[in-house]
Amino acid sequence: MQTTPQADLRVKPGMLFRFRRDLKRHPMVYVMLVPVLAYYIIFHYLPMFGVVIAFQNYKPAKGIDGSDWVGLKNFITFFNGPYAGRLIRNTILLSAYQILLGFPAPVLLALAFNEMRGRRYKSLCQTLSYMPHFVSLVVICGIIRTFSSSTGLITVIMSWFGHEPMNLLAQPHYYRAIYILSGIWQQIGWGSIIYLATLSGVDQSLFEAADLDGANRLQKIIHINLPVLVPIIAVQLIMRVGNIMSEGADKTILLYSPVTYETSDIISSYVYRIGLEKQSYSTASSVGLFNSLINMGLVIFANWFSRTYVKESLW
Amino acid sequence: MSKKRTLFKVLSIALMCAMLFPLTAGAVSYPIETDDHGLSYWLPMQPIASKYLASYNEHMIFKIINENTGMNVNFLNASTADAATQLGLLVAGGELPDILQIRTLYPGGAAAGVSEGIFADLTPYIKEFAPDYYAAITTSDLAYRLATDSQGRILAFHIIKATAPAFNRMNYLQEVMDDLQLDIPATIADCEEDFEAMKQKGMSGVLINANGQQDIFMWPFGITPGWCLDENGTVQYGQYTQSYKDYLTLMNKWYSAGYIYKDFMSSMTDAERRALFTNKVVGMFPDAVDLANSAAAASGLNSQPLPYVRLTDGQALHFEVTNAQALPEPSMATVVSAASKNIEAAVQYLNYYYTKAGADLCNWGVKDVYYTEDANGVKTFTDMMLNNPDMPLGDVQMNFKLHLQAKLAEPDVVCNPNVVANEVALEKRMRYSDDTAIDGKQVLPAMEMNPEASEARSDIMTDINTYVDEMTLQFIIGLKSLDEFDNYLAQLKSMGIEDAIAITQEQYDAFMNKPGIPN
Repeated sequence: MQTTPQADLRVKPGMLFRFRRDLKRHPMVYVMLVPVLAYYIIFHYLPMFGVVIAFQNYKPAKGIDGSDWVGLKNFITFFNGPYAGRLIRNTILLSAYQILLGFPAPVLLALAFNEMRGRRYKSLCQTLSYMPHFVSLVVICGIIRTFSSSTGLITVIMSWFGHEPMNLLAQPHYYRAIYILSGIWQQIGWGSIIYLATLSGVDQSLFEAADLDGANRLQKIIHINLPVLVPIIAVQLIMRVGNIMSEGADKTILLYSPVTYETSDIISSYVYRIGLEKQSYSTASSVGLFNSLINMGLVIFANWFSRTYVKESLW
Repeated sequence: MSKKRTLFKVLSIALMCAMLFPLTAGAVSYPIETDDHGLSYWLPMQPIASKYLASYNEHMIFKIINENTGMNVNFLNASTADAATQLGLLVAGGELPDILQIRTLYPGGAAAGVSEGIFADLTPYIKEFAPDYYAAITTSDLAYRLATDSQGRILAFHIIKATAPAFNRMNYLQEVMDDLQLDIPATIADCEEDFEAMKQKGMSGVLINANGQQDIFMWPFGITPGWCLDENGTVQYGQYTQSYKDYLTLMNKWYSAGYIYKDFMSSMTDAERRALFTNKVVGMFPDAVDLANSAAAASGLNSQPLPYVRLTDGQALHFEVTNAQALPEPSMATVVSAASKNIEAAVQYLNYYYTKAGADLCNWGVKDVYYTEDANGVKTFTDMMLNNPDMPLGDVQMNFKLHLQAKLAEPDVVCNPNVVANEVALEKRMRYSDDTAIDGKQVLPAMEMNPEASEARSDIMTDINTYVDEMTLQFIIGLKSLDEFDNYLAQLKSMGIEDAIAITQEQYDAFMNKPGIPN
């Protein structure tokens, strides 16, 4: 429904009034909000002005004021270059596979944990599944590299099935599988916590009613547990889709090598190489800005999709 | 080679260096007279030094230099591994220390930094405040051209040294040679015979660089990685030549045959790579001769350096940098910030490293503690340096003297403890120095390009380097067929490699025609 300017005027005093009233009632809550707001303002909003260097031939010595304006040259150079298409494709594919395979995994694990009856065995499994999350990514990638080398554990096991021993991380066609499966292994336990917490709050009378109706365990999962998880799944999915182009550079930089750039080089690793290693700040900023704009569009789309079809959304 | 002959060679080099070292110009006196004695100095810290020191503020030699110059220098250290990143962030942050050892980390080099206004043009200061450095760069026209930019300006302090024969070679283990009854290989064909024997023993033949561009195996094909000269003295890019296909064909053949270590492209530390050698996982290993020697000795083994292998016996190779003359080179380029409030003192301080007292401290350590000097001026390391109970020989170089520094340097065969520690190590280092079929004729001089040319070439080369690295590995391990080599060349051409070559040629011509020492 469209609102008139008059309607807007009626709403604004009301909002302000409600805010003041809430502030008086819960002042400490607002005090607690201050550091969070400061964090976002200082580290996320103020630096946004820096994107201006994407339109400059930025020289640190000359600063933003003194560097030459080049308009869209950096964007044109990137898109006319040989790697734009490949970087975008690799980034989207890696994220898409992670969403397809990595996103449902913690949900399924949480449902499985929720069904386990032996408490000691359950807590042992949970603890074991959380542990990889606490290991440094550098160590995790070191393990992956060792296991994937031509004499590594995974390679040896594969060789029992007739696979020629080779460095798996030097094969572009294995790179994504290694990246995604290792990611699932590291994060599946930790990622399941939020779903387990939600499942622990399910009204037990629903299960009693389902028992009376003769529902089996699978039916209870499908008709009780999963619907309970839908809101949190929707929120998590929107957030994840919003980061589809923001696949982190850290793990990629630790795992990739020039021989696998064909499938492993993604926008963030390219930005890192160009920006920090080659010190071409403007080119890196233009690629980063492009990345952020796509991400913003994806968040809006995912939110709309969720609101329309799942009836759950962030706004 | 006899011990006598080795000694003769080393003494010749030492004498030659001593003769070429300029006599102290001596217009600057130390301690420095200034109102402000504080300076800050950004300097990448070597991993070996960081094992013992929290920062270079604790380094014995820097402390003594502080005392001798009367300056209070505060060192800001970066780790060597990500020094380029940290330099970039430092520059972006805007507040630069007085002195920065930019090495070759700053895009466009010192000239770019000066034209951007962040580094000082030192030309007006050098003659007056750094007379020893000025004397060192005016020993020849070539030295002066190397020390100045395309406009003839002096923008940085460089390490100035004469070099003995290059220290990086392929190495074998004597134990492997004995076990497999191998001789020292002279040709590529000899290598293949050896690699086959190693393969039968379950070893990999050779560990090459992670990017697959191994200079020593490229030289027989008349190229070296990156920029160089062709036989006619024209600029070429090694990986953009038909000869590169021959090199890649050889590497692909070796990889397919199991001669090259399968995981050579993996990211490994130097220690991890050396462990493959000393654990006899690989037979042939590229490394500095002295480091391979000490790594092998630490495992109770004996390394043997190898001559450069050729396609045919006696083939001439033109890529070894051996300067009989002490010349500036940019690997340790050190600049003064334009924002420094005390440029004159900073220049005087840096000049100290080119005085006899400063150079002796850097090259030899503290007199009568780490070395002694006889009446004829011949220096000898003491046991404190060569047999220190608290520090392995490989580490003393970074802790009791200053190794990687803009200074007047003496060659490693004269004053690197790891090399001169024993006659065996020294003999290994000098073993092939009488190879007359080796020179540096096709090496492109380490010239300072003008900032515009440097930026233009850098813009072109960023993507090209990525492409070359990627395709080289794919050709070697067989993911791409060498039938596609012409497509590879065509792609490089479309990415602008010929423009980059033209820029480099123009800069090289300008360098060669640049005036030498001013009257």
